[in-house]
Amino acid sequence: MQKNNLVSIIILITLSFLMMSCGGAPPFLARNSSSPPLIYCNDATGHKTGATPIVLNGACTCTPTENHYNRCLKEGTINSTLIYTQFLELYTSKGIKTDLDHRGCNNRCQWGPHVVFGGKCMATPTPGTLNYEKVISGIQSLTMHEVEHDNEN
Amino acid sequence: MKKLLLFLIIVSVAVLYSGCTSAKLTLAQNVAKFQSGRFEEAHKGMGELLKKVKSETYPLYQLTDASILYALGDHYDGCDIMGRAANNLEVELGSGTVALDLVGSEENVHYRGYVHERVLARYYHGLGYFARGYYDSAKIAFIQAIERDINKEKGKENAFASVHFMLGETFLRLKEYDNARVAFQNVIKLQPSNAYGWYKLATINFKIGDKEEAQKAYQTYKDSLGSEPYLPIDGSGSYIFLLLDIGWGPTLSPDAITGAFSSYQQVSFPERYVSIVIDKNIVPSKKVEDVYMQAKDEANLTGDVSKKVASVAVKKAIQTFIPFGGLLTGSTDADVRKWLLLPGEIHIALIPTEQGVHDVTLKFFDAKMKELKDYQQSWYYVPAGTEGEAPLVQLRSLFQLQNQKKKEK
Repeated sequence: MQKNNLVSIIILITLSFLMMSCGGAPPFLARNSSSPPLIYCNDATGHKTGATPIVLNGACTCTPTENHYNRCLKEGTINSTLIYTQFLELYTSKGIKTDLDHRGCNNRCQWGPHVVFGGKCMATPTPGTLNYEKVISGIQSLTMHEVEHDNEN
Repeated sequence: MKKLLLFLIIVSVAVLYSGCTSAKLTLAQNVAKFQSGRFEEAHKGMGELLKKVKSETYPLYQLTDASILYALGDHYDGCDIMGRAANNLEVELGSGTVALDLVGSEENVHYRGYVHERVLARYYHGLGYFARGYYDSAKIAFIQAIERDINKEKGKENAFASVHFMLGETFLRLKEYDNARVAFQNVIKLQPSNAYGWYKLATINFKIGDKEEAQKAYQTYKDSLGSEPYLPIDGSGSYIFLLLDIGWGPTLSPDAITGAFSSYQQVSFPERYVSIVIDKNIVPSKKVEDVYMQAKDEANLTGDVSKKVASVAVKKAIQTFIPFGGLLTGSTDADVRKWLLLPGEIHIALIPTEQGVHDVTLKFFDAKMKELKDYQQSWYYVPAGTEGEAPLVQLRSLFQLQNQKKKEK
C-alpha cells in the first residue's frame, strides 16, 4: 500500500512538471509602432536646429567636432567668444567622453551610461537598440515590451 | 535499502542545485538566454566563463560572446573580441598539442572552427569597424574574410555575396570607386538578381562617368524592384540601410553509423521573408546569404578528415596494446561544437526615404507568406542617409523579442 502511494506521488509530480513545461508561447502584443518625441539629438539622428549643447543644460548630444562648434556659433547656442578648444573644454572638464575618444560602445563602457542619464559617456548610441531609443527619448524606463509614452519623462 | 535510495536522491538533487555546471552547460545556458532575448544576462554569463576557463574551446566562447555584444549594439568590445576569436581560430598549434589532440576526446580538441565560421568571424569583425566608421580597418577585415573562403570545388570558393557587398560598400565610403566596382561585380556574378548590387554598380559607374554602363545597371535595378520605390541613379537619394540576421545557422550532428564523424544539419526556423514598413511604404528585404548552404559547400580545413581518421586509429591502438589504455584516451565521438549564434540567412534592405529619422516596423513571414506576428519588431528613430553616408543598422530576428505582454524584470 505504501509502495503504491509512493508511485502515485512520483507520477503526479512528473505529470505536474510536464504540464508546466508544455504551456506553449506566452500571449503576444506587438510593440507600439510610433515613437515617443525626439528630445535629444546626436550624430545619428542629425542635429536639431537650435538645440543647445547638453553641457550648457541643453538637449544636443552631438559630438563636439569643429564642424559642430561652427554650427553652434552660427545658431547662437554657444557664446560667440568661445574658441574651439574652450568649447571642447566644456566637455573634457566634466570628464565627458565622446566619439572623439571612442566609438561604438553603445554607452556600455566604463564611462557609461549616457550623459542624458547622468553618466560620462556621450559616444553616439547604436541605432537599432533599446539604449539608442532611451537616450534619444530621454525615457530611461522605455522597454522593448511595455511602451508608455509618459509625458512626465 | 529505502534509506540508501532516499540518500542517493537527496545527494543527486544537492549536486544538481550546487551550481557545479560544466563550461559546456554554461555555454548552452547562455545560448538559450540569447535565444530568448536576454542579451545582458547571456553576456554576463559568457564574461564569467571567459574569465574562468582557458580551455581548447576558448575561441568558440569568444565568438559567442562577440555575437551577444553585437546584439547589444556594443561594437567596441564586440569587435575586439570577434577579432581575437578570428585570430584564435587560426593559431598554429605546436606538435605536442597536435599529438595530445589525436589522443584526447574530440570535444577537447583545440577549436579551429569551420571555413564558413572563419569567413563570418572576419566578416563580423569588419562590420564592427564599419559601424564605427573605421573604413580602412573594415576593408582589411572583409578582404581577410574573402581570403578564408576556400572550397573543395573550384568555382565555389570566394562565394560569400554578403562579404563582397560590404567590402564594396566600404570601398565606396573610402571613395575607391574602381575597387568598389569590382566588389559589386562579384556580388552580381554570385547573385544576378540582387537589385542592390545593380544599384551600387549604377551609382559607381555614374560617378566615374561611365553613363552607358550606369544606365544598363540602373535599368536592371529598377526591373528587379518591380513596383518597389527606387533610388535615383546619381546617389543623391537618401535611404535606410538595414542588415538583418535571420534565423539560426546550421548545427552539427554525428553520423548514424559510427558516431565518429559530424555533418551539418539545417536548423528549422520559420521566418523566411521580411517586410519593412516605413512611413506607410512596405519594402521586402533581399536575401544575400544562406549560411547553411555555405557550410554544406565548404571545404574541410586542410587535414581535418585525415587527422580524424588518424585520431581514431591512434586511440584504437592505445586501447588494444596498452593495459588500461582506454583510461588514457578520449572518446571517438564526433565533435559537434559549433558557433550557434550565427544566423541562418543574411538579408539587406536599402529603403528609399527622406533624410532624418523614421520609425521602422519589421514584419516576418514564413515560407508560405503567412505573417509571423510573434516576430514583429518596431524600432524608433532609425536614421536615413545619402549614398556613402547612410548609417548601417544591424537587426536580428528573434521570437517575441518585443512583446507588450512581457514584463521586464
